[in-house]
This record gives sequence, structure tokens and C-alpha cells, in this order.
Amino acid sequence: MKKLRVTVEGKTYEVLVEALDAPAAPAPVSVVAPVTVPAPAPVSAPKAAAPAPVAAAGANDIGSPLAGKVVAVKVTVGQTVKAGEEIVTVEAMKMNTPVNAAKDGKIEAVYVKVGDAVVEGQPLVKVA
Amino acid sequence: MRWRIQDYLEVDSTSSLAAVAEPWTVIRAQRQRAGRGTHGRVWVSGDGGLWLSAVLPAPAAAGDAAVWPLLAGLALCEICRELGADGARLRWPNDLLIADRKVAGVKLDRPSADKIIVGIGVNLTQDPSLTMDELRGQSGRLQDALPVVPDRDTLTLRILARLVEIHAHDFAFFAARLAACWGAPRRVEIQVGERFITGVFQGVDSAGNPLLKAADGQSVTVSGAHVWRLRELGE
Repeated sequence: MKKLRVTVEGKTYEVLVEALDAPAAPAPVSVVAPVTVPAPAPVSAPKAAAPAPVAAAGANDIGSPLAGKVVAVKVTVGQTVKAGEEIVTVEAMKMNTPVNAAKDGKIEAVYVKVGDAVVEGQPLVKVA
Repeated sequence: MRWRIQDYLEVDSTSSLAAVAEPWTVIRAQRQRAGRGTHGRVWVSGDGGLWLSAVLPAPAAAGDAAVWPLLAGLALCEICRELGADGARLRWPNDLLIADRKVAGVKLDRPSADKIIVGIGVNLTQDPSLTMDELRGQSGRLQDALPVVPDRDTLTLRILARLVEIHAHDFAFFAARLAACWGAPRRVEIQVGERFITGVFQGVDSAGNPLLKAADGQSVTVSGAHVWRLRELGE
């Protein structure tokens, strides 16, 4: 396990990372984050794929309301969206939850793709 | 509280119609033109099955909603056993198996914070492997497990009664009953991302996460939300 310091959009996190191609003692991956940020749940399974270190959701980010997998991305960068329009579908244990735009706006960034694992609060898109 | 059942001869998909229906509505169809399973897969829905989507108000606690997929499977398992299919069991998260064949599937949608749609498909007399080759040896039907096939209405009302029960209670209420539905412990392979975890399935924790016993005897909790599929390994 390596401890790294990662700075994303001006915020700094200390992250524990397991290198998957080197023999390593199985251990859960955990993210140590500043107090103000909701801490993602650790994936507690040896040799399991863990979601990438998670940056805090910025003011214009739409975060996932739950842990799950991205099964659909309905928007592209530059697209205008209306409040209530679906931007991403997250699936967990065979329940699909559409994540919708909270307000009208334009998609400035898409952080995820189909197949990605996400944790609760993980930024999905940026809408401005 | 009364259910409103909308019965159709044929629709594209009961879940599409359910998406815009009010809680306590059931969309049921004799056939679906575009029945869907999870992850974009096709759900074969010709004559000879029960295809329905039931709309319920979401439970107050988010954690309660997250385990509804398992509890819907529990409902089907108990109903099948009550009807005489003693060997009915669940494969995590909610495949209903009889004699190791998948007889029914469950798929849920959470279109808004206050609604949950429970989609259920049961093969009564339909053999979907006749339509989809890859299902041969995988799919089953109630007709092969019971001397008398239950009619759709009887099955529908039993399912709806169970959904009311699910809505009224939290996971703890059902934990022991769910534990009884997994059948004998089996070796499984679980895919999380691009990794595969093998172990003997032991049941679930209170959040519905699968519990495995690894080859070295260690107990492993797998993040259920990140599982792509669980495969049972032959002996």
C-alpha cells in the first residue's frame, strides 16, 4: 500500500493506493479526506477492484446519490440540460437510479463513463 | 390501500409505462415487445409468463430502498415454495432458481426519490430458450416444477401482498427469511470491476452485500453495489 498526496482542483487529499500488478497483502482501499468532505465507503474485499480516489464534489458538480456502477451516460460536454433531465444512470444490485440535473444548465465536464464504479457523493458531471 | 392494475395484451415494456404511473399502480402485460433485463439485456416476454411492473412509494430511509431488490426476490422464493416448489431458491441478488434454472427475474427502477418500480418476470409455461439459444440450460419455468401451473392472477395478487409487506418493514424484519432462501452454500465467482473474487456464498449482511468464505477460510464482504455479476461454479 502506498500513501500519496493528491491535489484536485485546489483541494488536497491523502490517499492509500494498492498497486494491483505487484504482489501485495490484501487490504481494503481507503481514502483519507479533509473533514468537510463526505468520506466514501471503503471497498472491503481483498483483490477487489476499488473505485479510483474520489475528489470532493465542487459547487457545480452533480454527485452520485448512491454507490453503484454507471450503466448509462445520457449527456455530452457542451450539451444544455433542463432541470429534472437525466444525466447518468447508476445501478446497484439490479436497481437502476437515474441521476437528474438539479437545474437548467450546460454540461461543462463529464467525469464518468459506462462501466465505472462510483461511491456515494462521487462527482459525475459538472453543470454550470 | 388499493392497487390499480392496468392489464395489457401487449406493450413494449411494462417498466416504461410504470415510469409515469402513480404509486400502487401495476402495469401487467401478456406479452412485451421489448422486455429488458439488467445491463441492457433482453428479457424474453412472449405468451406464457407473468410480466409486470409494480409502482410503490419509496421507503423513508435510503438504506431500506437499497435492499428492496433482495426482498423482491425473497417474495418470489417464498411464493414458489408455498405453491409446492420446495427446491426454489435465490441466487444473489435476486434470481429465482428451481433445479438450478432461472424461472423468474427481478429488476427495479428508482425514477425519483419518492417512487420505486419493481419489475418481475416469471416464466409460467414459456420456455425462453426456444427464442434465445444462449438461455438453453439456464432458464426454467414453473410448469416444469409444479404439477399445476398457477394462473397469472393468483400469482399477481400474492406478489402484490408481499410487496405491501416489504414496503411496511425494514431489512431486519426479513433477515432470517432471506437467509433461508439461499439454499446450500455454493462456490461462486463474483465480478467487481475487472476483478473476480471466488468463495463460498454465506448470505448477505444487513445492507445486502454478499458474504463469501475464501479458500483460506477468511470471511469476505463484497461491495454489492459494485458487483457486475455472480456466477455459481460447478462442483
